[in-house]
Amino acid sequence: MKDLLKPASIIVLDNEAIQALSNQSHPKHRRLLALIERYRQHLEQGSRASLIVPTTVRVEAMINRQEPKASFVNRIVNQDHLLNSKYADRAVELRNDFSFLSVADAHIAAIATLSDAEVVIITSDVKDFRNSLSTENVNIVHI
Amino acid sequence: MNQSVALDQIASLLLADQTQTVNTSMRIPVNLRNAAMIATDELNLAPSTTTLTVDGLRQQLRALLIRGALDEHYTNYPDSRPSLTELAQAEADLTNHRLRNQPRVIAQAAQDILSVQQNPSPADVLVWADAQNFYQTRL
Repeated sequence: MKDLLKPASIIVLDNEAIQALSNQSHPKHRRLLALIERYRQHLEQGSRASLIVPTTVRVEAMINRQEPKASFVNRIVNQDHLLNSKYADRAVELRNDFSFLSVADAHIAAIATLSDAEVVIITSDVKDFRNSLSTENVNIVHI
Repeated sequence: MNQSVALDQIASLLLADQTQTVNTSMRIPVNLRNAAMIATDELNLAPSTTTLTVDGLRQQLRALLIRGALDEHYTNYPDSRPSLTELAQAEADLTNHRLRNQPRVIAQAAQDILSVQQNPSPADVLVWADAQNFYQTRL
């Protein structure tokens, strides 16, 4: 059977991933575009997967959706994940257990641990996420 | 409205608050509506036919938006278009394919498949790579 991105997967971009996407001279820009191309193909085939960027990641990466230079990112990553009380509390727990996690990475890890769906984390910090997350419903993709 | 402005407006509307709703009359095929009703009422595949319709519309708009954005981007930056090898590797990574950690096998398959197939998809490359890998391990 053909391998498919699980229908309700949540694809999360970390700091370097969103920077690589937004900057065409970034060395990993093409790598990000390849992942986006495949995500788009899955959407066109009926997948309900969503591509999100946590708001804390946007702060770390200095991505302001209101600025004209964010136009490309706004078109591609069309969904923020907000850090509400529930996710903030979980992120604090994770930072207590794994002090190496930044605020933005703890937010990503909170999404992974609180979600029932498969979570795909696009990141350059594979080691940090492997050390802090069970890999049961998490697919960590290195860029 | 030019295409670039239209893409930005779609992106902006999809990012904006989605709680305000409006009634709209949309003509759809009766049999499609009936199929959707069975899917929601009998199979519980979605909370309602409205949810099914709205979610489907949103996902398709997102796909169209990304396609438009990428097409414009490749026009402006032709060197940014990913190669078949890069696309196949991305497919393997996103789907957690068994060959995802064997980039050389994927790269070789992306090169070899072009000798027998025109315009192969990244998924075709992975099938080819899988088959080659299978036979090589048996020989």
